[in-house]
Amino acid sequence: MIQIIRYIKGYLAIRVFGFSPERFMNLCSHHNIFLWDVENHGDYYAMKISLKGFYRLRGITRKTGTRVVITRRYGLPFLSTRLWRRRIFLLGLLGSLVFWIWMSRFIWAVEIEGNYYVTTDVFEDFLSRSGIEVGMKKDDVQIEGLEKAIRTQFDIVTWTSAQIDGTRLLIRVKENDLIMAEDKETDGISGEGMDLVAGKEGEIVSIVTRSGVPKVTAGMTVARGDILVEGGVPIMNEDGTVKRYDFCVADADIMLRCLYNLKEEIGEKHEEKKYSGNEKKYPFLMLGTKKIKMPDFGKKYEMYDVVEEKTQLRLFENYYLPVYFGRDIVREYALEEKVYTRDEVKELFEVKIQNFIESLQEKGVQIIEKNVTISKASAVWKMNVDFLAVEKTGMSRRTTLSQTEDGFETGQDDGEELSDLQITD
Amino acid sequence: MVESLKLPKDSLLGASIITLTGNTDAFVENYKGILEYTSTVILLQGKTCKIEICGKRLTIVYYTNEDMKINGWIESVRYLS
Repeated sequence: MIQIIRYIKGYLAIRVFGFSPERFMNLCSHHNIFLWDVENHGDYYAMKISLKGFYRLRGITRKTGTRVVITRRYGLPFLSTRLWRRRIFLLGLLGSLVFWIWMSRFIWAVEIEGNYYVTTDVFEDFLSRSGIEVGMKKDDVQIEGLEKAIRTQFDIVTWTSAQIDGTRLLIRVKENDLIMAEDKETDGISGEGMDLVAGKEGEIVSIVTRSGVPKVTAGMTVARGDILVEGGVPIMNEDGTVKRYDFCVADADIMLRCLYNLKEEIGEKHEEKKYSGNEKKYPFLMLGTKKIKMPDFGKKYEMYDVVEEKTQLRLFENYYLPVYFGRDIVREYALEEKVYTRDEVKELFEVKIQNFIESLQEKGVQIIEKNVTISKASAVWKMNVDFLAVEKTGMSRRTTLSQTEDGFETGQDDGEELSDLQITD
Repeated sequence: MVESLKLPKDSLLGASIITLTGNTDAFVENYKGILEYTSTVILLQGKTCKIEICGKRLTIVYYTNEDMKINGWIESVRYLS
């Protein structure tokens, strides 16, 4: 404790020599000037004295005929002079502090969390298009606007949160778990109805109509674009003629048996990479987008892959810096020409069929039957697969029926022509 | 009178108090001043007599009006009239 108080007030190491140093010490104690660490060094005395006491020594030295020399200064009052001697160091310290503060005003990393359907690449493209990029100023990031833009750009995203953690921009999103597979039902504008039309050629397996007038029955064959359910319900006069149409949005569950076809070709010969096992590792340092590589000595590989592994430098948890370090791993390989065997081809085609079926099933298509033919002609394997499938069909389209003041104009559909005839009759 | 009243002698008679800790530390109270100080001898002026502390490598740790502390290899303490 005493040490700390002494340090704050400041003290000096002095040398006392001359006629009577003992008397000097006695006088000091009489004047309540505190001395400590008094040592006799033969022809002089070394001791320590408080800074305040030192200023009162003048009279004493004159009386005793001694001389006082300061050998060292200690304490806070002398700190500034010591710091001045280390001004370059201090300047560097200050400079680095300013540098860090200045650097912390920028975004040095962008992270996206929670995206599954919308890939990170797509997100990054979108971000760069909306002006969000690594190295931009933090103040220029409009969080609210960004969140809103993400929600409007990606329908599947139901919730977004953007936040700046240190020098990192963290975007969290939540996607709708249920994919909106069903087509958006567009509400019919008043006075206009919506028809359901066939999306694909095929045979109707079943039809359950909720609203509208069904135009097809189970067992009928339809072409793409044929009206399945009409959005206009005719209201009849007593004489059997159509008085008017009540328009509605046609709604029905229609199952359609249809055909899908998949054609694939694979060349018999193919090149395969054969890794020799030779590897070279090149460490590098990346500042922003500039890559500083180690010079490449030794002979180069004729054919090689490069795998980049890098880590971003950061301070503590969130202070990301635009500095990366990592290494390039260069792997040598040789190309080898190979010919597919029948089994290999079969396996490859099977994977393709499986992927195709999966993509259909995601759309709600049920596969009933599949017919695969594989043939080989002039060094090319060909596959042709016919799928017999059942799927839900029906696309909304604005109805072609329309009401006019004097009567009804209709489209070219058979049913409507019939009603047209009735009117003209 | 001091005896009968059981009063402390140092304050009334002005006697010096020397407290020794082993042969390395000496703590002196009630003295007037230093008469001589070298690394082998410290001669102090008490109120009634002089005190001579002999030894080797003697240093004064601190030194005020009331007390002082001496550090070093103390060999003897003598009272000189």
